[in-house]
Amino acid sequence: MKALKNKIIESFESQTPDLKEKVVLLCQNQTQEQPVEKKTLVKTPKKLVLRKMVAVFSCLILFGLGLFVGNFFTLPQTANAQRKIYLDVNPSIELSIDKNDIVVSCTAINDDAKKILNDMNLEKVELKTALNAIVGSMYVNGYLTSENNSILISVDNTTDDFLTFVTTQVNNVFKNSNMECSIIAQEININDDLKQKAEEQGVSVGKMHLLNKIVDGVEEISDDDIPNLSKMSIKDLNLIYSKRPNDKPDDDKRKDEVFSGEVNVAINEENAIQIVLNYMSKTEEDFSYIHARVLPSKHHRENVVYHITLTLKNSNQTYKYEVDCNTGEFFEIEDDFDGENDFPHKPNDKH
Amino acid sequence: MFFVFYCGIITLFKKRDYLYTVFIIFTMTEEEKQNKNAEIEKLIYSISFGNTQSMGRLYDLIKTDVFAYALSKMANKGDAEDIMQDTFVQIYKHAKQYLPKGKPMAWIFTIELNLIRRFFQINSRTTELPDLFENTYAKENVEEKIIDNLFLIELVKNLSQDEREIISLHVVSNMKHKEIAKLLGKPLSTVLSRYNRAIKKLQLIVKESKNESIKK
Repeated sequence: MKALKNKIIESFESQTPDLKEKVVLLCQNQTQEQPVEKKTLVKTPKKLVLRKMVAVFSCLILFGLGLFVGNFFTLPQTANAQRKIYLDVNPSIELSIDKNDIVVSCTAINDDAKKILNDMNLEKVELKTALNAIVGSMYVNGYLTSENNSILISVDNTTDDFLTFVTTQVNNVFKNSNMECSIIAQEININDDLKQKAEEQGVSVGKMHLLNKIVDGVEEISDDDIPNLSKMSIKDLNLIYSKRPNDKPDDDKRKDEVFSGEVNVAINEENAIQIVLNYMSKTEEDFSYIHARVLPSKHHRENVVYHITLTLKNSNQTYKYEVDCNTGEFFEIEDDFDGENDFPHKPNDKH
Repeated sequence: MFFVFYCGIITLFKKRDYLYTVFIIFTMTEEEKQNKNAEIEKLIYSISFGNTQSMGRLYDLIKTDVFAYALSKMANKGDAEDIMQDTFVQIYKHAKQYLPKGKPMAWIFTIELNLIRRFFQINSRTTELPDLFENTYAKENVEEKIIDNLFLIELVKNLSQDEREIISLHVVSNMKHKEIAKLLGKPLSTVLSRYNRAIKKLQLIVKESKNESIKK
């Protein structure tokens, strides 16, 4: 191969003419051309302007494309929100989560909630972590205490398992403390009617749903009582709802709600009856019928009381008393008392 | 004394290009001397000042490369000589426009290729295209009319124009296949396959010539 290459080179070399002198002579008679300036070599100004315009337009298109792509990736985050969770104590907070249980947005519904959230950025955080942070902050800020231990959790578009999961997560916050939370976790179906009612009463949709359930489940309470009920704390509403008469068997109980823990009250049912009996200087044996119901007070509409009915064995005379669940203060009420014109007698005045 | 010194300075100034060439040749390191391209670039730079001495030196250095390429394209010694001469004149004329990039041979072959194309453009009005041109010579008595080297005659007869071109650039001018592909504007695979085909043909020619000589 090398021999062949040498042969080729030698062949060409042998044939190469000697024109050196001729070439040098020719070159001496030639004038050399000046180097072409870069400006004229590169581009004409017209083309440059066109190029610049194309570059600017390209940048604009890229910018627009960037915005579009940016929106494309950010918009679905809110569009991906699969569920909404409402946490009510007094602070009311709305959480939107995606299908992977990641928080998409966290909104404070009232001023107390703004205090709770403060500077917390819970977006793109796991629901578990967000619940811990919110409930923890409620506890630290004094909204959740051993006396006021009720939380209402409302979830739209959910299942039983998820309600149980949320309840467990909230309970886990207090796992290492002596405090126990009373939780109502409920499924809600957010519609325009519910939203409108909630706006009218100035409450969250979760609390409004609970109010509707109370009106449906307690005979003594009607739609007219909703304005007063809406001013009550979650603890009081929890007490009314959890102590409502429920004649349905366990199998038929609502599957769209999960209860956990007991509501802490200063005066329990037995204490309330004992207060009345003490006042009347009677014992339980003197009465053929003793019944206590947790209801809104008929005269202090925003308070929750034990509505106690007692019937004497001998005379069949019926007495009705209201004992405040929190203070133990009590009043005797008459059958025709409508709560507006007539005021009940204070036992101390009557007796 | 002062006048003599003044005249000496003027003379030296007038001969600055020549002195510069002598200077760069003498200051050239051994490694640079081996590096043909570096030397060519320095000579072109010197030529750009109108130094015809450097032109002579450049001629000595690259005459075979330029002639081999012209002959491979033209297949005619006379035309190849004309192209070779014009190429050197053009190098001299445009030396100032050369931008050193370490590949002066590519620049020189581009000049040469442009001259060859112009030659064919002018001749295409009266004569036939290069391949046909080549064939006409192949049919005629090549030995008498063109070249007096037997191996070269066989090379011109048996190889196509593209094959000859690639052989001359790679073997004579020592250009890489990649550089050839870039210069000719052809895919590297094409250049490689044509080169291999040409080498095989040449090997066959050598083999046949040996056999004939043995018979004789």
